[in-house]
Amino acid sequence: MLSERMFQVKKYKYLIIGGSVATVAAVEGIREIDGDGSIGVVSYEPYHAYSRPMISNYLMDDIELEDMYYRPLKFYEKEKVDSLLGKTVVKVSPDEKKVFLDDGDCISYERLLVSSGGRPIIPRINGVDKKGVYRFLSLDNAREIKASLKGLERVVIIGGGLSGMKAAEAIISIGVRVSVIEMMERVLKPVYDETACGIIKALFEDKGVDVLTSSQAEEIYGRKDDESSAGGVMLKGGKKVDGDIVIMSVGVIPQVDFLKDSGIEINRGVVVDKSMKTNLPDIYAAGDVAEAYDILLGINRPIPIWPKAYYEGRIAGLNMAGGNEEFSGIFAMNSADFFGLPTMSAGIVNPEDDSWESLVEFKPEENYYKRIVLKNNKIDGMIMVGDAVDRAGIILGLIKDRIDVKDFKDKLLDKGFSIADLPASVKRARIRDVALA
Amino acid sequence: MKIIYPKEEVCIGCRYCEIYCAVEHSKSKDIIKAFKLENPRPIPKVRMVQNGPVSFALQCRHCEEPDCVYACITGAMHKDKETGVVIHDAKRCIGCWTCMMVCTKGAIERDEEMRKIASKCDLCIHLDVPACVSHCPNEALVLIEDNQIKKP
Repeated sequence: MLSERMFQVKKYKYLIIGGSVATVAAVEGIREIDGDGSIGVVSYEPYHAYSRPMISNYLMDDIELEDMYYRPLKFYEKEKVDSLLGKTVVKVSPDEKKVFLDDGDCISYERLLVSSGGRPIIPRINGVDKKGVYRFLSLDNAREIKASLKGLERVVIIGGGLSGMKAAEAIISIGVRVSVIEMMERVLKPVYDETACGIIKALFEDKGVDVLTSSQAEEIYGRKDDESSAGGVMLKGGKKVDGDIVIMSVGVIPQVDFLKDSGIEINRGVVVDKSMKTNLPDIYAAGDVAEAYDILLGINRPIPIWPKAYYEGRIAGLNMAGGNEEFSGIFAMNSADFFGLPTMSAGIVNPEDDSWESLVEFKPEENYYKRIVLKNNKIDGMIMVGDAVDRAGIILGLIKDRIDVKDFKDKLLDKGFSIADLPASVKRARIRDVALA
Repeated sequence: MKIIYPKEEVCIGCRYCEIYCAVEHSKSKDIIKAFKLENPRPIPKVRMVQNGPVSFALQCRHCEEPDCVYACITGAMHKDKETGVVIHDAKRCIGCWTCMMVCTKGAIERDEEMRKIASKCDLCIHLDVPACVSHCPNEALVLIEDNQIKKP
């Protein structure tokens, strides 16, 4: 009796590892079905759930953590959730139904959700451990960068993906020079085609950002006066790009290190079925840590995007509480604004061969670009830049629902294209109602 | 919950719904002042959409499974549990347009008059009958309980 009291182990009906969007979605899903079952949330970040994509806004604008909360501060309290923040899970033991924390504590669970997100890829180059080398994934990363920016002249960013380019936008906007180093022949290559990338690159260059493509970082060298602090990046071939700090934004991979030896099946991310269950009973996974079924590519893969994390977290939560929901899968989709220019893309944006056809409208003088990628009269991809983003979701819906567009293909590029142009059955489904009863 | 249902068979495409929506969401709520004097100018949250002779008014459908709420990266969109209305909190919106990207109805627009933020129907929750419904001259918009709707 005594020993039991001394070593009282916290126990939750639902335990969630991670503190971001998939976690919030799971809590909302669980509470739709189970209003009272105990929920515990463990997150390594010491903050209430915040909007991770807003870390670039945090860098650029005069905003505080309070402005970034993804749900009101009282959310966990209101939903009767114990939040254990600033604690890292080091091990999951499915046999005992327990997780172990870095502070030595352990928590037992009835059902577990792994939504631990991603961790930054750190390229294996010399100098990554120097002072002044930052990652750009968390609020703490953004805080460190913001604090260090004062008085700096020049920043080097390794990685010209969405997050790297958003960081570049933020930093040039506050008056610090930026170079972006991208290994591929163009920035944002996985997200946009050549034309859209060209528009965006020109925009960045116009704002004063040095965009170095087909450039491979080989070493982060030290400062002349202080070898232990970053002074810039040496490229393959010997070119030096000076910078007072270096931000690494090469990408994210699923955060699965602590699941080693747990018996949870991991491919590139945690392997889940359509109900978000892992291979082990009572253990679910959702968000960036989990793979998803890409309905366009027909494979399971990590797709680290916000909407996917919410959809999956919600389905995991509903199912953990006894629901019977399935995730039908997703595909890549991104929306990003650069210097006031809206850009969007979804699905297949760089078709491999000419078995795809494209509908294109490009007005360079207006930065207006719309491309719709099709095969067999079904839309597989879309790219929009500038005012072409308006009502983009209609096209995205046609991709998602695999609608045959043969009869209205000629209207897809029209500015006034609306759900009125869709086949009657699709139109009615969009309006939500079939008929008045 | 209540939803607005468009009857395309009687819509004449007059766009009164757009005008009165903009007025209702203006500061003055006066049709002359709203369009002539107000800055930012109010923009309608309902749009008449058209395909040849067929037209109807389209506004946010306040979906049961709202993609815009699920995809919103800041938490600016939420679905009110009691009324079912999908509410957009302008203060929390950063104009990333993710909601517009996932709205398969095309019912979210960009409001760039003042600050770049999303703009959508709030079902005139402060009124008994939404402005677009009460001002439609042909009764092509009706307000109904969603249990009156046949599900597909």
